[in-house]
Amino acid sequence: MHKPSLGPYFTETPSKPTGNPKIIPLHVSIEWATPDHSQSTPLFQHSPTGASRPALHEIVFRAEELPCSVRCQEFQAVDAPAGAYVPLEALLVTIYQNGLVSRPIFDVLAELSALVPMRSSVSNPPRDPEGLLLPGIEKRGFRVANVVAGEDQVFVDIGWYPERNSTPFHTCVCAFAHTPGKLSEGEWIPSPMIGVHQLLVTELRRIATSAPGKAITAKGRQYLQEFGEPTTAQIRAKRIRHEESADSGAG
Amino acid sequence: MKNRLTPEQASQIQQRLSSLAENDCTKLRQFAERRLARLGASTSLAEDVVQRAFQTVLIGLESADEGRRPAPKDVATPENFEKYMFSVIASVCDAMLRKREFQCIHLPIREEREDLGEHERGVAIASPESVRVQAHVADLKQTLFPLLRSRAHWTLIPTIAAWEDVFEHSDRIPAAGRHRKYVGEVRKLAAEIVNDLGGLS
Repeated sequence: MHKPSLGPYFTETPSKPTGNPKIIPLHVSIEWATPDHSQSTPLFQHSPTGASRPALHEIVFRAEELPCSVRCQEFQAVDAPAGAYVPLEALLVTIYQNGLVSRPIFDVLAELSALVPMRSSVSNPPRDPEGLLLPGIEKRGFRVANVVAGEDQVFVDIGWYPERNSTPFHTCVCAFAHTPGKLSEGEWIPSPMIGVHQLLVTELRRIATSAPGKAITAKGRQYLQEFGEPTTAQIRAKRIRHEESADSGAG
Repeated sequence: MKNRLTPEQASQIQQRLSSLAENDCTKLRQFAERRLARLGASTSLAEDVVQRAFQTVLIGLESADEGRRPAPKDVATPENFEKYMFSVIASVCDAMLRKREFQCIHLPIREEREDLGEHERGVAIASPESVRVQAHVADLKQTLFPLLRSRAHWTLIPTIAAWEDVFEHSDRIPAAGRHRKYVGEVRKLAAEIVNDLGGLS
């Protein structure tokens, strides 16, 4: 059973500059409280490339503010001369998975998104993303964020959108095997990464309980099949490979 | 230490990097997207992965110990270089899966531990738990040292006295300018006493 808790909330709080041009204060803190502990931790943007808006994995806080031990992706942690910085995502996952907080994750991320406009790096968002997933799933804010065509698979990156046009929070990837004119029921690919997608995919799987193919509408299926159809260049490359192997076999 | 690149090799690599057109970069990003998707990771990291791959090669140009240096055959043709960049991207994607742990260690406020070096960090927090620990340590000290003195050989008494001075602050028994074997003997004797007392529950 969860202990009573407050938050997490994101609040605007002025922070001092770090003196490191790559670690920029966001003037936003994450706050929460339990009967034993309360915490208010200022957030920073790790900006190695000088981007004006952070991606979610670039939002960090000082390791010395850690309220509990956390694991994170090594590439997301920052070793600065004044001390290490840990990704916010790792903290969120830890406090939720340890049952320290219980505020709906959707409210928490929507609040963060409103206070810290984030950068989107989605390269190939669908032009008309609505109606690709079942209405009950899209109503909760999940949509197809990106589709990637592999040689014999189509990968669908599903994201959670706090607002219609906001930057999505990555949720999960599912893969569909394709043969001409046919798409498999697909599989959910488990992510080995640590991040808020772990919390979001749990919510998604509450409403999308069976194979990913069952979560996709007829429109979505048709859209994915277009990615499955080989392009002229792929057909040509396949033919060349076939001819090469035939030649080497004859030689 | 690996071999440093010759100026000719470095210039050839730089030439290959600068001749990459937008279309080539798109191919690299698409490769990264497929790789990430297969791993179940967010495809929006692809741009980041490609940048890291370029950075790795650029670092290799300047350092013999860090980054990556393509072999001459990898830069012989644009096609070979593209293949090489695919392999760098694959390595960057795999490296992104590595995890790191940050430990939070709760210590009483006044306690400065010397053994924190092995951890990522330490936190000084006064909690009800630390007050209980302090009370337990004080009780143990009161019981342990009279028994130690009563059972110890006279040569161990200075070492016991030096330990008593730092007992609340340190797990270590100071040698107190004496032979280190006394430290081992005091520790052994203390362990016997604690055992007789029923352990450290």
